[in-house]
Amino acid sequence: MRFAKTYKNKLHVGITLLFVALPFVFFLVFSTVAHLSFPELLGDLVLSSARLLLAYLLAATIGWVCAVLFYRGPLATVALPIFDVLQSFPTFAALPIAVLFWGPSETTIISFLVITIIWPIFFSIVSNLTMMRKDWQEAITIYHLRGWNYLQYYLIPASRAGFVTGSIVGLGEGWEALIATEIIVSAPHGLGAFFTSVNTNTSVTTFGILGFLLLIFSVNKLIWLPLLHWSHKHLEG
Amino acid sequence: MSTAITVKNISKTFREDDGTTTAALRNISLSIKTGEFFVILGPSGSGKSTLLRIMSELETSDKGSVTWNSVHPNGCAFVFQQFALLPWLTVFENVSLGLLSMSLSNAEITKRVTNRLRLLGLQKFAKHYPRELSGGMKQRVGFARALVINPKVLFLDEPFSELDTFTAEALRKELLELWKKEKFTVIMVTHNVDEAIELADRVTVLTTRPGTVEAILPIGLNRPRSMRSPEVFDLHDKITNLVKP
Repeated sequence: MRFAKTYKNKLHVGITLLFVALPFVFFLVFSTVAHLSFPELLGDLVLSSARLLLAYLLAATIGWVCAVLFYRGPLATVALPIFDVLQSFPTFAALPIAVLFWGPSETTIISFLVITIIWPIFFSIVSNLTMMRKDWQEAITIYHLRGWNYLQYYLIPASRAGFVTGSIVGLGEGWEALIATEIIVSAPHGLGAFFTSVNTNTSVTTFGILGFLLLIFSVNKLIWLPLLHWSHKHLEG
Repeated sequence: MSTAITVKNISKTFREDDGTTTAALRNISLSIKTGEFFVILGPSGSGKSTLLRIMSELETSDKGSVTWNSVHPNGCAFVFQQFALLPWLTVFENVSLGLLSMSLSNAEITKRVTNRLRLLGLQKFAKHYPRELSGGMKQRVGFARALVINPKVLFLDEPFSELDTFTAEALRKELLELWKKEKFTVIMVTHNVDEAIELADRVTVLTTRPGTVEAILPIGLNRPRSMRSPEVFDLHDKITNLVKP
């Protein structure tokens, strides 16, 4: 896979490692200076990241399946306007309903994250697939590509760029929704709990947010931007 | 010579988003013989590509029928004007596309693709992506992808119009050699009169929109054809007068 070539340069590898280490070094220094427990802070970070990862995996799977099912054909004319209305519904308004059903639980947090992350992924893939060249689809038709071959050689690669773009936007919104949800449902652990516990100390809160942003920046730089570049490059004819 | 495809009274109208309709084809009837090099010629907007798409079952007609007499539609291949190579697949993978639905072993697919790439001078480019190729090379891949399935009928939609003069000329010669050797039926759309005279056994000329059959002319010249002979000039004038809107 040509994506592996992204990191073949030694300097590039060095910078990559720096980006991996930077957020953790920052949190180590920050927790020492602010007299916080580093293992506890790391635990909150890992727990929140795990919640987001699980929600992302669910949203990505459901979003991709729905997008490839509904992006064209008779179903699209009915389904897409419905999805459009649903995605405009403010997700935070659904939070009290979720709390009512599941209480301040992991299920509430995860399900809330899923409905936040899914829409950018879904619409980005739909937009990506509807913009595929007509003659590519005709080539697929004329050469009778069906079943697994259709998925492997057309649908998966054709939806890749939209999937990556939607994932970047969805995860960006997901981080925001994650912290807010953890605070609203008073989750005992996680970044929401951390920010709640330090909210009277402006400096600690500010540096906490800074470290959090550094982590998101590193993840984007290390994973999502190379993936975005790779996926778009493979759409150039 | 038996008949490969019969087209009877084909009509097609397109409906635009604003509700207006455009008649593309009206009462087209044609009969294409097995092994024939048949060219559909016409000015822009005459519906020649639409007719080709209907014949190859990529599009449906509003009226009329297409009958495949001696071959099954699965035995057809299509070469596109803008190549239609999937950009995320290598040359090898693009060429193998048509074989994937044939229940062949991987070894057989590799053998057939490698052989076809060699015949079209593409063996060095097997691992390249379409974006790394010139227009001429991309269309060679388009031909390789079509011919690798050993088609009974080959549909060509203005396959040389995106290429420079020299590349197009070379590719036309190669196509003629392959056609003579492999004896498939060719149905080609073009707006280029010289190209039609150089390649065709018969040329049908379509009128401007809605496309109807203006004339069907046999090109009774021996191959290879000298494009500077008096017979060719006469034919060129005759066809040009028919094509002129």
